[in-house]
Amino acid sequence: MHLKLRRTKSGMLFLCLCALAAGVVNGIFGTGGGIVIVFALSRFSRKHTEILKKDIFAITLFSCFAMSLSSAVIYALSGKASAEDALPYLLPAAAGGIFGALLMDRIRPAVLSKIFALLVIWGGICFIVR
Amino acid sequence: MDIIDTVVAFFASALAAMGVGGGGLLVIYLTLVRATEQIGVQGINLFFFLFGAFPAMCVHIFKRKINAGILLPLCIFGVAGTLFGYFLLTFLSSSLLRKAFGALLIISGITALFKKER
Repeated sequence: MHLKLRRTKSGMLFLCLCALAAGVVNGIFGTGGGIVIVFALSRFSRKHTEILKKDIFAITLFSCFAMSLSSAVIYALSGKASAEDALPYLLPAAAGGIFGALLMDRIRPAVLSKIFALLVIWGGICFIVR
Repeated sequence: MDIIDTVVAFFASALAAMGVGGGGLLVIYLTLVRATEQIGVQGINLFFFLFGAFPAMCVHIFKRKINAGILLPLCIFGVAGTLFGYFLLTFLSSSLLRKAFGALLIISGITALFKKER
């Protein structure tokens, strides 16, 4: 699909504010910025441009990478994280990343999304009540 | 780290790369199941995400339209936001951080559950 971009001042301001909010969430929790970016790009896409859902996801992934890199550097410099602690998880992370990216065009993850959503809600309740 | 940790890490990364979600799944698993301190887990999750996202980005860059005019402001303001977010984190107690993260998970879960496919 041809990507028609009609950037208006209000549209870009909305995106920038949402990106700022996503960064704040990412800085506090070490995750979660993507939710805000997907919301912002979906709204922006409806009003200002035509972006495919999978392109929205790719842009979100790239922007989250920048935010997470920044957060990781800050966490590491302040001693709250070290690459050494994360070392055992890095290989499965890389393998899972390739697997998921290649599988994205071959599956319809709607059902998977709903199961994942329920799992996340359960996790959220446990975080609050435990 | 045992085989279950490896399997969880693999699937959390795969789900994130598929666009289903999964960024916070490792935090949920390590904090609730492995009883690891949340702030340390958040740090692990950041490195975990970077290693999972990078190969996925390499795949996506050839298959998707990455609009630099949109991506650049997202990155600049996003990175600025992380600095402010970390500043706020220093004022949060571990209990409040835990509850706030729980609320974030519930909100994102409900949003995903009731999201209409376009």
